[in-house]
Formats: sequence, structure tokens, C-alpha cells
Amino acid sequence: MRRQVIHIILSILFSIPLSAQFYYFGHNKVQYTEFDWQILHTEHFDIYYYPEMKELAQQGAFFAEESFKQLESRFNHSLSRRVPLIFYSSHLHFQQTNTTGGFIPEGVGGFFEFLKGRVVIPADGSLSRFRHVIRHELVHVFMHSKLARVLVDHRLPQDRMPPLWFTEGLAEVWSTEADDQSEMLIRDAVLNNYIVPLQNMESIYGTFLMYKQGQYILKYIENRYGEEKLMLLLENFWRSTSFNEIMKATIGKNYKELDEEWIYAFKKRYYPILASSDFTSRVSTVVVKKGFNTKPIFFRNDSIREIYFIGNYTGYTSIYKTNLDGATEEEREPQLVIEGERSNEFEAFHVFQSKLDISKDGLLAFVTKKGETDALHLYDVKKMKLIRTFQFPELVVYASPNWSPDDKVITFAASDKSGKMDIYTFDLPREKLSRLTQDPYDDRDPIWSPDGRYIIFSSDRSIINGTTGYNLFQLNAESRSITHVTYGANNFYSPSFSPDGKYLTFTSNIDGAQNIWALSSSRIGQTVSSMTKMTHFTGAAFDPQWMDDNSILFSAFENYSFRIYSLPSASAIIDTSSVKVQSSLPATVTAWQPKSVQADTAVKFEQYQGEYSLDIAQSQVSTDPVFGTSGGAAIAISDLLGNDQYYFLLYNNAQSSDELLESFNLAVTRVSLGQRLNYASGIFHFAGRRYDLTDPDLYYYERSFGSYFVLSYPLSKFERIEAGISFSNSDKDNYISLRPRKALILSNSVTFVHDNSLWMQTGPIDGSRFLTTMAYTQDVQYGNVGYYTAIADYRMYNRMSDRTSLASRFTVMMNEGEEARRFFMGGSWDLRGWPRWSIRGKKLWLMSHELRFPFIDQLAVKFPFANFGLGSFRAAAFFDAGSAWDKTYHSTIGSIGTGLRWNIGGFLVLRYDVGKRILDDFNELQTGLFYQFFFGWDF
Amino acid sequence: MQQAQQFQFRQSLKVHRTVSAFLKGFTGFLSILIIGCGSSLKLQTELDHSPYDVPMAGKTPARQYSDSSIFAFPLQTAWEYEASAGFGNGSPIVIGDVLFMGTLQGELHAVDIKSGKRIKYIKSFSPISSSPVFFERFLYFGTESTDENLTAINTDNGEVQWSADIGGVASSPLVTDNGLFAGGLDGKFYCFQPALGTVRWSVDTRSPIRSSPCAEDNAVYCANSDGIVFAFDQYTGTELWKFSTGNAVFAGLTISDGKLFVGSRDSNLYIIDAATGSLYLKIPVGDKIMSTPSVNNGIVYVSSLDGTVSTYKVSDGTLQWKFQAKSAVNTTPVITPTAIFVAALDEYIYALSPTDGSVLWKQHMDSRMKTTPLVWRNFLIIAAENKTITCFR
Repeated sequence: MRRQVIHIILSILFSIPLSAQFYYFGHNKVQYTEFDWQILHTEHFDIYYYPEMKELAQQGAFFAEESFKQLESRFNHSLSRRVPLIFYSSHLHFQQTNTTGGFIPEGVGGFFEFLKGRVVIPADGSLSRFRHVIRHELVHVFMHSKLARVLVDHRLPQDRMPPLWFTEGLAEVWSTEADDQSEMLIRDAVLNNYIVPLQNMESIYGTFLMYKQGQYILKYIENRYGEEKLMLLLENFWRSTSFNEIMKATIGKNYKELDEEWIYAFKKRYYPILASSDFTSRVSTVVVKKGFNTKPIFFRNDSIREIYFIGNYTGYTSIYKTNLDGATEEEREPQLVIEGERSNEFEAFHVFQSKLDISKDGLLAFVTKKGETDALHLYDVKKMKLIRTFQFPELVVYASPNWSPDDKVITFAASDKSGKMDIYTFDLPREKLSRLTQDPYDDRDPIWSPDGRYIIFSSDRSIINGTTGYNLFQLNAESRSITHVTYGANNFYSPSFSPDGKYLTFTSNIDGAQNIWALSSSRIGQTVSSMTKMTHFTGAAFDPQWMDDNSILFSAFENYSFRIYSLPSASAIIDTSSVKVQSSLPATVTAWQPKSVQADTAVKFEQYQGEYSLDIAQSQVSTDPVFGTSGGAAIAISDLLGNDQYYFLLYNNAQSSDELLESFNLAVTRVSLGQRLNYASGIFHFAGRRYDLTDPDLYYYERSFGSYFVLSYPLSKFERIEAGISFSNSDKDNYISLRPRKALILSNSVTFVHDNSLWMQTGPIDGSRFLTTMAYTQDVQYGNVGYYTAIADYRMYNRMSDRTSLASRFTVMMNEGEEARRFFMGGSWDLRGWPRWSIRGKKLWLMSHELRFPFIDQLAVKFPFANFGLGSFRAAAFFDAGSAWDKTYHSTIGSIGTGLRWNIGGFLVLRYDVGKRILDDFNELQTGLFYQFFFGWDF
Repeated sequence: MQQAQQFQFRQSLKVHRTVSAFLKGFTGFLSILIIGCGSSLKLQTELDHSPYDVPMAGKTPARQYSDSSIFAFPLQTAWEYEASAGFGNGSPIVIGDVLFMGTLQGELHAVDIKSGKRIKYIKSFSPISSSPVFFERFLYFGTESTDENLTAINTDNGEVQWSADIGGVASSPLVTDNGLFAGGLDGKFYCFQPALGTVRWSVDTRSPIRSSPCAEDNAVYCANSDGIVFAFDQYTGTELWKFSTGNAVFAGLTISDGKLFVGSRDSNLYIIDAATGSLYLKIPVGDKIMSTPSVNNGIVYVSSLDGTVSTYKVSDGTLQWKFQAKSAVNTTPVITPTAIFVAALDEYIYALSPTDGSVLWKQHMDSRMKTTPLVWRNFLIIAAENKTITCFR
């Protein structure tokens, strides 16, 4: 959203009175929630929070101070400034942050932004994960400070950082022990031979695998070479610009030598697992073969066995179903049920957090993000229709709905603004929401017992042998009393009853990998629990769900992919399994108490008033053959939360000393993003020679000054309305006609923007974009200017396969009236093959069709001394047509051709096109070919 | 064997006394000429060699970091010296009226200790993170570069007398009458003939040496990054004993009255019988120890990364008092009769009461400190991360 507002401002500033010749699509970062920010000052931190999550902030403050002490020792270093920590009680709130302009995907657990030294962290209901993320980010803070210190001490420029695998790996290894997820991934990578040596780590840059490999490699170094070596890798940072050489200086091994060691050590560690365990795919039946699939649920739709699940095949996460009884492979292909991430209704599925459930009548209960909070949806799979959607004002995040045996009450886990994840029930006939637990523990995966009297759920509330793993508990729906179902210092998740109610299955990492276990329902509520191991997978199993044919559906991670499998004859497996674990269940739950800081002399609370600091200060001198030399500076400041921003622009483009005073250009802008309605206002004074896109090109001198106000209201992530008004005095001298023109210009515009496009490396590949603008500009004093503007631009992207798409664009622009400005096109971004901006007119239309497809997935060059990966190339075949005119339509022109697109570093796309221009109302083709090289994203 | 050790012990004592007498009686002037950067950077300052000299980190080969200077508080800033590069852990040394301090940019500064004015500096182009050492007319310093990292400068003519490659030097060399001792990042512990630079003996400890050695009588002690403490005969390099701590030893070693003090990264202070290598006491201090313990009058002072400075009775390990700084402390507490000086990462220099650890005086330095302070006469000299050396008196 910030990007859009800034773009609007820039378009107004630099195109007045061109009025909306430039416009922008893009998704919206919507500030749905108005936060009343407070500050909690501790010894080393300023913690920003809102009143509803005060308790969580105090707990986070404790974690932060605890981490500070430990990291001082780890780093042999301390921080000399206070660290701002910005806490959010949920990821949905975190996604609204203005501390970064970018969108925050669901997988991002927090970040350290080093321009202002801010750490921004959401809670997700688990205090242990909150602690982990706080420590992880503080490792980055310490590392940044330490490395800066090392470089400054050695009088070296602070222009480098260690490779990402190291910075993220260190943040992990110094913030947590290896957890189930890490073990699952590394074990899978070793056993399936996709572990990546340090020498090739760039090939998995930024991936979760890279983070976890970094963690495990550094842990290996710590164990093999000594814990001090990790600190020394930092203290030796001055030694070289090559981290490979720093590694050699620190542990005596370069990347190649270390690779040979650690990969061998990992093989020694994980290969023996194959003696007693199997790949899931070897011993289970794959139900859905392609793509990414998880959270399966079974439904017998009359005689047809169907499985509903969350999947992603196209880049959008959606709900699919598959027909198990399909006669052919094609009939068993997944079919789209609910298309996600393209509308406000189903903005995002919490793919790893929330399961699905379906009633006996075929009402599919699922959760999506919808606007400010999550929503609980009921979808009739028989009628293929969304029946109801519920949003509860007091709740923010929902997860894993589960139908009661009588299909009247849904239980689910949810967190409110305080960030506490608890168990709720929603009585559908009475539409009554009830909260069953209210505590700081992470309660999740609730399911009803077959008799409807109890809810079984997973929670980290117990402390066993000093650890706070997740056990299963039984909650009495009436009395709210809670007792243990499992008791162990491991993790137990995803309970599910067999259709006959005889067994309770769940996942656990009791003996290493997360497998499916079961216990007899008759054991629930007894003093001794006896659990039976059902599977022996090398990978990890998730979300087991029973079908009605004695099979269990589940998703599993194997070979770097989540797929859905089935396990037949489940009860026989339970009855014959020889791996059983017995444990005594205590009569009461021994819950741990979270620690937090309390107000004292070192801890203080206050209201946030806005703390402004410099974001960027930049000066520039430029020389242009047309406009001469100009110089100036731009300054941006913003408050700590990024809600209010100020931009100052000052430059001078005088071409002689006489012009100095009258050639000052100044703009001051304030952008306010703290609420859903974003707005910006400012004043400006611009003076200088301008270039008019008339035929022939004209120069003129213009001095204008005035003010403007811009609004932007996001209707959802995908749609917004913008409006702007500017009022300026404009004096213009035309050097050709020598006829000065004065005007007092009032300009109004209103725009609607829709964008739900999905992007790949070089541009959009799916979805659609639409924009329409109406504007009117007039001289309210002299009547010298008066014209209206109408713009419509529609772009759609028709997915033809995973990576192939047909993109189409239809654009119409019109300026009409006194001193109406001209539009222009030509060049790589619109009408290709034609000289840049060579086609001009007050009216313009453009149509483009482009087939976008992959060309080279990886291009690598291998020299005797080094290897270089050039990444992937995409290609396009295109056809453009359009025209521009003032009063009389001339002719339609166009171009046809093909080209390559290459993304460098994720932000720059190079394009090279070859083709032929089409002339004279499509009656003539260019002789020869045009070749066009430029940069920029595909339309 | 015992007779041989006693003989060596007596010989050592004799040599030590001779050197001490020589130093104490030496009242002449030295003309120091330092050559660097391929061009002559002459430092022609008349140095009044005195008993107050601090020729090496910790003042003596025992590295007890104890001084008899008396201070009256509050102290006032006498001068500040801008060195334009950061400092390592090694404290400055003082010969006559000249303070020598290495920087992490590889410069060795010579500063008039009375005025704080720069006399000269030389560039070695590699970080000097440890303390230099002065012996007779030679100034020795180590750098962390991977070649020619131990250098001896003849102060008579200012020329580099000799240099050697020992894989990099991160610990402060030590000199006794029996040789110049230095631990290398190549894992070897060396004894050089000080004037000529010839290696008398070397022993491979098999792990980089970052801990500064100490010496007493006929033995020299060092520890490596595997956490192993060695005792070698100063003359022959014969290993007398070795002792394993639980983790790497980065802190320098201290010896006093036949007890060797070793601070380990396993968060324990080890007090070892220097003669036999047997463990006398093992004291958990709460966190990793990165700096040399200091000892005086049967009390050992040790700082650790949890920000504490703890004092223990050597005889039985009884905690005398404990001081808590706001941040980690990785410098050595410097002992004087009136105060224990502690420089901390919390940007404060503290003067603590020797009797109960209460704060007698503290000064905010606006910068973290990871370099052990130097006490010279009634001067307190502190190098901080802001690249400045500050002198209080």
C-alpha cells in the first residue's frame, strides 16, 4: 500500500498537469486494525505492543532480556544501543506492519530490519516459538553489531555480510535445538540425496532447506571443532572478503574439505535409519501424486469416496478434491473446490496450521483469512456451494474446525488479540461461541470424542522432565476439567478417532521421526496409557484421518514434498504392531507458568508518541544533454512503526547563475499509513525547462507551485479506490511560440484498481489486473486549461500449464480538452519494436498478447577455477497492436516477435526481443528485423 | 628428575633476580628508532627506563596484573589519544615515558604517556590484537597475519631485527631471561632466542594458541584452544605436565605462589599445582572466562561473560565478593591497593573496593571496552572501542 501511495504522489508531482499518465497496479497491504501502540521499556529493549497483548509483551520482554544475556556470552560482545522490538499478537496483525513496505508471507516468522535496527515479531500462540523467534532475530542483531565492530576495528568498510546460509544458520543454532521439523528435513535431504554442499549453497539460496542446512553445518562445526569456532568465524571476518577463506583460517578447512566431512558424517548418522524404517512412498499408497498436498479429509459422497485437501499446483493454495473411485487416472485427478488467494473471501489458507473437517451431510468446514481476521466457512460439497461464513469479532486467528458427532457444534482453536491460542466451540443452531480454555498455553488440533462429551486436543501446557512438549489432553466439555491422554517429553499432535470410536490415532516423535501412533479409546481417562506405533517412516507423517474402510489418510513429507498417502488395514496394524510404549498418566496436569517482566525501576510502560528518524538522505548531481545539469537532495524520515513518513525533495536545475533563485525545486510530502484509509498531502514548487511530447518536440519553461492531497482506500488485498486532488499555479513560457501561459490548475482524479495476479520470475502468470481512472483538470482562473482524462487498462493471464501462460492486455487512454496532454508509447514496455515514446497522441489504444513459457531452467558455466550459475531464462512470443492520435485516427500499427527474459537477483529483469514491426494498418511488415534490449517486468 | 627441577628452579631464580636488578638499576636512556612501511619512521625519544615500567602484559612473566599504585577518587581525564583503529584484548605496555599499543589496523603506536601526544607509529599491515613485550633493547609484537607474524625491532637502530612465521599471533608473547615465548595460531608453542630470533625449541600442542602464556621459575605455561594446559621446561621445552579443562582456553594464564590460574570457556576457573599439574581447585564462575585472572595476596580476581567479577580465596576457593556489571566483562581486573579496575562492555570503567567489591568510582566511556586497562604509577590508561586511549589520574 505504501508503494502505491508513493507512486501516486510521484505521478502527481512529476506529471502535473499530465494527470495520471502513470498508474500502478499491485496488491494492497491493508491496515485493517487500528493499534493503540504502547512502549514497554526494559533494561536493553524498547518493546512496542498494543494493550490487548500486554501480558504477551511482558513475556516477550522476559525472553528478550534472557536472550540478551546469553547472546552477550555467545558473541563475546554487547550492544551499545537499545533495541526496538515490535511485537504483534498474531501473524494476521504482523502482516499489517508498515515497518517494511513488502508483503509478508505466512512462512515469515519475524525479521530484523537494520536501517532502523528494528526487530518485528509476531506470536502464533506458542510461547516457546515466540521465544525462539525473539532469540533468532536477536542473534541477527548481535551478529550485525559484532561484524560491524570487527570491520570498524580493522578500519574496513562495512560493505559485506557473511553468506545467508551462515547468518541464518547461526541464528538458528544459537536460538534453538534441532526440532522435529529440522530433523525431518535434513534426514530427508540426506536419505534422498538432495543435500547441498556448501560450495553449491547458492543453488538453494533463501530456501528453508538452506536455513536448516546452515544450522546443521554450524552445529557440526561446533561439535567437531569446538563451540568457540562459531564466535571465531565472526571475529575473523576481517581476514578476507571470501567466507571460504575465513572458514579455512578458523577451522583449518575450506568449503570443499568441510563438505567432504560433514556430508559423510550426516550419511553415517542417517543411513542406519533405513535398516528399521522406510520411505513413506515404499510402504503406503500415494493418493494424490502431483503438487503440494496436505490436510486430507475423507467423505463418502453417496457411493463415491472423495478426499478433500489443501493443495497448491498453480501457485495459488486452494481446496481440491479427488475421487478415489475414479476409473481412470484422469478421473482421479484433483479437482478445484475452493479457489484460494484470489479473492477477499478466501485470501489465504493457513496451510500448515489448520485442518479441514466435513460433516456427515457433506458440509466442509474450513478456515481462511478474510479481511482483518480469519473466517470459518461451511461449504456444501454436494451442492458445491458456500453455505455460511462466520467471523467472530473477538477472535483473530482460527484453526482446525471439527464437527461434533451430532454435526451441531464445531470446535476449533483460535487466538484473540491477546495472542492466546485456546479451544472454542461454536453452536451452529444457536450461533453461540464458547471459550473452553483461557490460558497462555498453545492449544491446538481439537476433536470431539465419539460420545460428544469430551474434546481431545494437543497442548504444550505440561512440563515433563523440564521440557514443554505437546501432549494430548482430554477436555470435559461440561466441567472444563482437563486430564492427560498422553504423557511424555515428546510431541503428540493431530488426534483422530476411528469411525467406530475404538482407536485414537495421532502423530508423535516418540522414537525420532514423526510417525503415526494409536491408542485404544478405552484407555482414555485411565491411569496408564499404552501407545502403539503404526508406521515406521523415515520422513514425517501429518494429520492422520480415518476413512470408512479401515484405512488411514495422512500427508507425509518425503523427497522435499508433501503428498497425501493412505495406509490400509489400519486396525490390523494396530493389533499386530510390536512397538508399544506405556506411560503412567498423572491425575492432574502439572502446568508450567510463563515468566514475564514486571514493572520496576528498570521496567516502565508508556504510550507511544511517535519516534522519528532518518530513513534515507541522498544527494545527486545529474547532467542531461537536454535539461542540463541539476543537483539536489532527497530526505525521507519516518516514525519507528512506519506509519507516518515525510519526504523532502530539494534540487536546483539552473543553467546559469541568473536562474539560480528561480530554479529551486522543492517538495514536502507527508504519507500516513497507520489506518486503513491511507492518505498523503504535500506542497511543491517546481521550475525549469520541460520537454513537451508534441510533434515536433517542444521545450518550454514552467514554474508551478501548489499542494495536493491523495487518498487510497483498500477494499481488500486485491482492490482499492484512489482519489487525488491537486491545486497549483502554473506559469509557462513556450520557446517556440513565445506565448506565455498562466493557469491556476485544479486537478481531480478517481481510480479503481483490481489486481490478483500471481507472479513468477519475470512477471505475472496468472490472475487478472484492471484499472480505470477518470480525471478532470481545469484552469479555474484563466480558463487556459480544461480537459478530462479517461483510462482503462485490463490485463489477464490465462494459465496454460504450471509455468506457461497467455497474457493479454487491452488499454485505452484519452485526454480531451484545452491543453490536453498527450500520451505516448513505443518501446519494450508497450508497443515493442517501435522507438521509445515515438507514438504520441491525446488518444491511445494498445493491445498485446504474449505467450510466456520457460526456456532454460538452469544455465551454468563451469570453468577450471570456478563455476557460475546464470539462473533460468524464460521466453515469450508476442503480438502488439495499437495507435495514438490527436484528432484524426491515422493507422493501426503493431509488432510481432519473440524474446528472452532473464531475472537477475530477483529484482531486475533483462529483456531481449527480436521481431518485425507491422505498419500501415497491418498492410506491411518491416523489412528486416528489429532488435530491442531493455529491462523491466513483463506487463 | 626432582633434583634437576630444583637445580633449574634455583638457576631460574638467580637469572630472574639478575634481570630484575638489571632493570631496576638501569637508569640510562634508550634511543628508539622504529622503521616501518619501508621508510624510516624515526622515533627518537629518550626513554627513562624505570622500575615502574610495564614491559609486558601483566607487568611480569607471572602476569598477576597487580600494581602498587595508589589512586584517589574521583579520577580526572589527563589526556585522550585517537588511534584511529580498534584495539584487541592486549593491554598497552610502558617503557620509560613511552606507552606502546598495537591496533587492529596493524599499527604500533608510541605515545608520550605524560602528555598523550603521539611520538610515532609503525604499520605492520596486520592486526595486533595482543600486547607487545619489551626486553633489553628489543620490542616484540605479534600480528594475526599468516606470514612474518612475530617481529622483533631493535630499538638501537630502529630496524626489524628478525621476524618469524608462527601461523599468526593472538596471544601476548612473554619474555624471560631464558627466551621469548610465544604461542602461535599454528598450534605450536615456541621459545626463541630473543636477540637472534632462532627457535630454541617448539612444541606442537595440536590446537591454536590464543591464551597468553605465563612463567615462573624454570617453567613456562600455555594453554590451547582444545582446553589443554601445558607446562614446559623453559630451557629445553620438555613437557613437564599437561592438564585438560572442559573447553577452549582463550584467557591468559596467571601464576602465583606455585599455583597456576586458568580460566576456561567451560565457565570454570582452574587452580592447578604449577609443579605437578594436579588440580588444586575448580571454581565455577557462572559463564565463560575470556580474560586472564589476576592474583594478589592470596586472592584471585576473575571476570566472566555474564558480567561478573568474582574474587576467591586461593587457599580454599571461598567467594569473597562478586560484582555485577551491566554487560559482559572480557578484560582482566587490575589490582591496586586502593581499587580493582574493571573495564566492561557496558561502557563503564569501574573502580571497585578491594575489600567488598563496592563501586568506589565509575566512569562512562561512551564506548565498549574489551582491552584490559593499564595501571602505571598513578595513571589509569584505558583503550576503548571508539579507537581512543584515555588516561585518567
